[in-house]
Amino acid sequence: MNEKARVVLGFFTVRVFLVGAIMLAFPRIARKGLMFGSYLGEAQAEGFARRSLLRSWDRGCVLIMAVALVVGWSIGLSGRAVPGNLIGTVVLLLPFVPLYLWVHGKSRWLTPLEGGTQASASSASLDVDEGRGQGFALLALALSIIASLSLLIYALVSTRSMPPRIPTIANLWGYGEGLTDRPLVSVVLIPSFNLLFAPFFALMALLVARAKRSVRSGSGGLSAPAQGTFRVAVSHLFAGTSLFLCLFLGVISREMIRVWQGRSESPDAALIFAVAIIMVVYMGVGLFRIMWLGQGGARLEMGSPDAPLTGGLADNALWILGIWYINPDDPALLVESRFGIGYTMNLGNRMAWLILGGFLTGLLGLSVLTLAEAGVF
Amino acid sequence: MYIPPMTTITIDRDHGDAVYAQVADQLRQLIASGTLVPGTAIPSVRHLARDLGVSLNTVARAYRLLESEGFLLIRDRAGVTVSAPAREMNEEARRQLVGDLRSVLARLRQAGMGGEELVEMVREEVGDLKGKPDRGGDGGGAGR
Repeated sequence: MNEKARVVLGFFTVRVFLVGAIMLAFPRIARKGLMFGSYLGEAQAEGFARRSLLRSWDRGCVLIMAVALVVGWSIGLSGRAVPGNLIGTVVLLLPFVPLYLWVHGKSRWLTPLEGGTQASASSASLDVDEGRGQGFALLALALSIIASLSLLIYALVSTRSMPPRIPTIANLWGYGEGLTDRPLVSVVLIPSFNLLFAPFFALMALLVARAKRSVRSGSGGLSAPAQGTFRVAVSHLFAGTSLFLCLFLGVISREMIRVWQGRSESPDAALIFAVAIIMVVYMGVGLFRIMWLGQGGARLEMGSPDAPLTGGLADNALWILGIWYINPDDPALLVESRFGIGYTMNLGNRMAWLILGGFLTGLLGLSVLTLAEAGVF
Repeated sequence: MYIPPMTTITIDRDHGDAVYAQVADQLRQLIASGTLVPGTAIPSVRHLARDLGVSLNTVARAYRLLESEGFLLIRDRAGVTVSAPAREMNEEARRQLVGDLRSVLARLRQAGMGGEELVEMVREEVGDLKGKPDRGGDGGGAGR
């Protein structure tokens, strides 16, 4: 096995264990009362049924990880590391969909009649902590827009001093595999990615800082601060990622432009690697922190039948498959996810569709640009 | 570890009262009991509506009602704060509120509450009020 194959399969193995560990953790960090996307009530969600469902989920996760490792490594060891990585990743991710749907379906059978839940009630904290997290998010939004636009302008101006044919950039190691006579498309590809993703992450950071707080009434006064701490941690993760993405893509773009201009033999791999490591460490620490806090700060609050979840989070009728929240009567744009970590959009809100539509349009534009760079058109 | 006090309000859509009335009533109680002291900032219309999952108009209606009753002060930039009790009572407001009180007392009487019982109940309720307006008297309001 050559060095490239070892690196690819090494990353693949890390990915399998990371995704598996996160999936195993998800049901354990959920808000009390929620189980695989269903609201069962605080007492029911702690009982025998919970343990039984959890066992099924754990076994399914371990089986998926084992199959993915066997498939990925089998293909990789036969001399095709990159296809092994891709197919192994698909085998890792896709089966989680039917596994989730299966345990979610079982959890729905355990849900009490609507009259037995707090679906018709909603609680809100009267403490004002709206400023927390917004400052960093706004700064990240402003900086990411300025930086990504500056990078795009710098890239466009740089094309003037490039030869008519330059190396392509579609390569795992950052080196060109061939020559293209469309320098403009190659040059603007990475800055365009930056222009879409960095401000989008910063926008998400801002929206998260203003997301709905699903506060429990009672709960020893811990629920609202727990929500606040979690919301700030998620917002900071998005805002920091936005800025690091600007730095990372900016460095790659600059290094590639230097190569295209003939000012350098190859990109400075050490610099790119160093920035990537810092970004991954920041994201890893941020992800670990929010997992540690639990979904919605679940580990910081006390959920009990005396302090039940209320509002949209407790209303099974408003959630499709426990994942998509649709409530046109709720003015909230972002609400806590029932399964997993972080927030999801209220698809009953017109603004959510505008944001998603804008982002998907941007993705479509980037796909066209990527295909053009690869010479498809 | 310091645990900041958390004050919540809860609305129930199955309850007979309109949602705006539930919001207004709970805020009124929290202010009258001294849980929310004068000058305390409370969430804006948008934020409270979002957290409760109700329309902006519902919360706005509750806030306007409380503003007209003198419980809240709504300013564009400073947001929404709890008002201090008025130092002098408006005569028209007094007539209106005394009329309301008479109506409630009549209903309590009709529901079977005796005179002594009524007086005791009113004494207890007044005792629960905090932040009584200072008219040269004790000024601090009765504690619980």
